[in-house]
Amino acid sequence: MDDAMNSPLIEASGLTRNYASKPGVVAGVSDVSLRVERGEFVVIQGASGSGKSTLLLLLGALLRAESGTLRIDGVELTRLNAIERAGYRARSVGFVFQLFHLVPYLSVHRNVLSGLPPGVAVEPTEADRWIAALGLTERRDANPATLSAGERQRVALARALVKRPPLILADEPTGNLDPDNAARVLEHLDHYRRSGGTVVLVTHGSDANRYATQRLRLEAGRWAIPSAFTSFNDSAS
Amino acid sequence: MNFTLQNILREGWYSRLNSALMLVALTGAVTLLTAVQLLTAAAERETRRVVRDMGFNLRILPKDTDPERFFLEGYSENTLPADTVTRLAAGAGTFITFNHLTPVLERRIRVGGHECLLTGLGDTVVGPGEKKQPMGFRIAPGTAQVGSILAERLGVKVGGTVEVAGRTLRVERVLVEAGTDEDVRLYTALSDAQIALGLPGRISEIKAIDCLCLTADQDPLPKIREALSQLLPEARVIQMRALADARAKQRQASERVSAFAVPMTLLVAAVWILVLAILNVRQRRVEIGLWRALGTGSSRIAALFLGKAVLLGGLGGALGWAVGTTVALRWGPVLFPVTAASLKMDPTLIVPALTWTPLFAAASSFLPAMMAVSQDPAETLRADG
Repeated sequence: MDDAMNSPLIEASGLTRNYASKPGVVAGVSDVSLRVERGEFVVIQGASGSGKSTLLLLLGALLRAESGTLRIDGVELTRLNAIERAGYRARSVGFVFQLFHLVPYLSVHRNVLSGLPPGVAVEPTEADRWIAALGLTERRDANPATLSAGERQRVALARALVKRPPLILADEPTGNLDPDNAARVLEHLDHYRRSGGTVVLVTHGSDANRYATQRLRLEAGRWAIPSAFTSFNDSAS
Repeated sequence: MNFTLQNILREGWYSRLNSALMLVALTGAVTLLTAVQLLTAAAERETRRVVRDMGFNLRILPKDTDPERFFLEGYSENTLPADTVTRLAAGAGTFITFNHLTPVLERRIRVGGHECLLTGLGDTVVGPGEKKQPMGFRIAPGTAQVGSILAERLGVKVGGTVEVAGRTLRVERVLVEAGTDEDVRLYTALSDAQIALGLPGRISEIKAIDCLCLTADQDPLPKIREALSQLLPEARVIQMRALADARAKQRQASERVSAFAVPMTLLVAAVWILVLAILNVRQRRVEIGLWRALGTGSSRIAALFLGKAVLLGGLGGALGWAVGTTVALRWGPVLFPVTAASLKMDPTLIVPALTWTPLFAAASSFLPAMMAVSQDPAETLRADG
C-alpha cells in the first residue's frame, strides 16, 4: 500500500492515438510519455488540434491507446476491457469540461449527485457540502439553464469532486469563463490539489500557469520541447 | 426512487415534445387496434344477423330425394328420422363445416280452402359452447306464423286462429311481405306439423349454415359433400350458392380489413417510435458521453432509453384502450346499426394493451438504445470540448 502511494499516479510511455478529425487531417498524439506524481497540478498547453484533448481522454480511459503503456494509480489502463474502464472512470477520475456538460433535466443538487459511482452510498449531506463549498447553496434546486457560466462550471466541479477521486481531468475548464470566475475555478482545483488530489488540466491559455507544478506543451501530437519541461513543486510555487 | 427511473421521468418531462409524440404513436396504435378488435367483433355479429336474415344456405335432404321433384315442389317428398339432427350434431367435426342445424318438415297442404306450404320448424342446434343465437325463429307448439299473402287470403291477424288438419293454432305473428314463397307459408312447431301431416318423428330436411365460408371460386361444395358423406351417408346436401357466396364474401372482406389494418398499424407505429427514439438519442449525444465519462455502464444507458419506451408503452396502452373503446362505442352503432346494442366495452382487452404495448415500444426503441450504448463518448466530448 505504501509502495503504491509512493509510486507516481500517472506513468505513460510511448502513447499513440491517431484519428481522422476532418477529411484528410489526422490528429491525435504520437509517442507521448508522461509521469505525474500524486499531488501535482499539471498544465498541458497547446493550440487547437495539438492533441491536448486526446491525451486527456486517454488518461480518462475514454479513448484506448493504439500503442504504448499507461498506468494510473497502479492500474494498466491499456489492458482493461470496456466494463473495467467504466469502473475505473467511476472510481478514480473526475472530469471537468469546457462546456460544463451538465444534465439539462437535473437540478444542481442532482447533477452533483450524478457524479457518484452507481451503487455507492455517501452521506446525504456530502453533495450539499460541495454545493456549499463552491458557493451554490442558493442555487441548489435550480435548473442548469438558469445558471450563469461560472455557476455551471462550479456545479461541474462539484460533480467531479463529490466522489473524491484521486485524479481530476480538466479540459479547458476556464475557456468559457470571465477572469473572475476562471480564477475562482482554478482556486478550487488548486485547493483540491493541496488536499492530496492530482489535477491534469489542458488549456490553450496561460491563466493556469501559476498553479502548475509541471507545465507541458503539445504541438502536433508530440511534446514541444521534451528536454525543457518546467517542473515546479509546492515550495517553488 | 431508483436513480435511473428518476432520470427517465425527469428526461421524459424535459423532452416533452418527443415524449408526447411517442405517446401519441403508442396511444394511436392501441386506439386503432382496440377499436378494430371491437368493431371486427361487431362486424361479425352484423354479418351473422344479415346472413340470418338472408336465411340458411345449406339444405340437407334424404339421399333418395328426386332433385327434379325437389326443385319443382320446393321441398323433399322423402323423409328422415327426426333424430338425424342429433346424430349429425354429435358427429366429429360437424361444426367445422355446418352450424345452426334446424330440423324441418315441409309439405303442400290446403288451409281454409287455400293452398299453402306448411313448414314445421324444430329447435336449432348450434356448436357446443357457442353463445350464438339460433338462426330463424322459434315457434312454440300450438302457435303459427303466417305469410303475408296467406294471412290476407285467410283473413287472419295476430291473436286470431287458423285450422290446420283439424287442429287449431293461435296466430302469433303475421310476417311482413317478403316477395318470396314465404308469403304463402304457414310456419308451425315441428311437432304440430308432424301431427298435422301424420308423419310423427319424421323430418323432410335439415337446414343449416355453411361454416367453411369459401367463395364460389374456391369451390366449397365438394368439401361440404365430402364432410356430409362421412357424417350422414343417408343424406345429400344442396348449397344455395348465391346466399353462401354472399356470406363468404362478407366475412372474408371483414377478415381482410383486419388482416390489413393490424399489421399496417403496427408497422406505422413502430417506424414512428423508431424515428423519435433515434432523434432522442441524437439530441442526447453529449449527455450519453457525459454518463460514459462518469463511469455509467452500458446496461444503465440502455435502461434510460428502453425504460422510457416501456413507461410510455404502459401509459399509451392504457390510454389507447380507453380511447379505442370510446371510439368504438361512439361510432360503432353508426357503422353497425343492426347489432348496435351488442357493442360493449371489453375489459379483457386492457391486459394485452398493458403487456404488449410496453414490449412493442421497447422493441421499436431497441435499435436506438443500442446506438446510444455503442456511441463513442470521446467523439462527442472531444468535438464539444
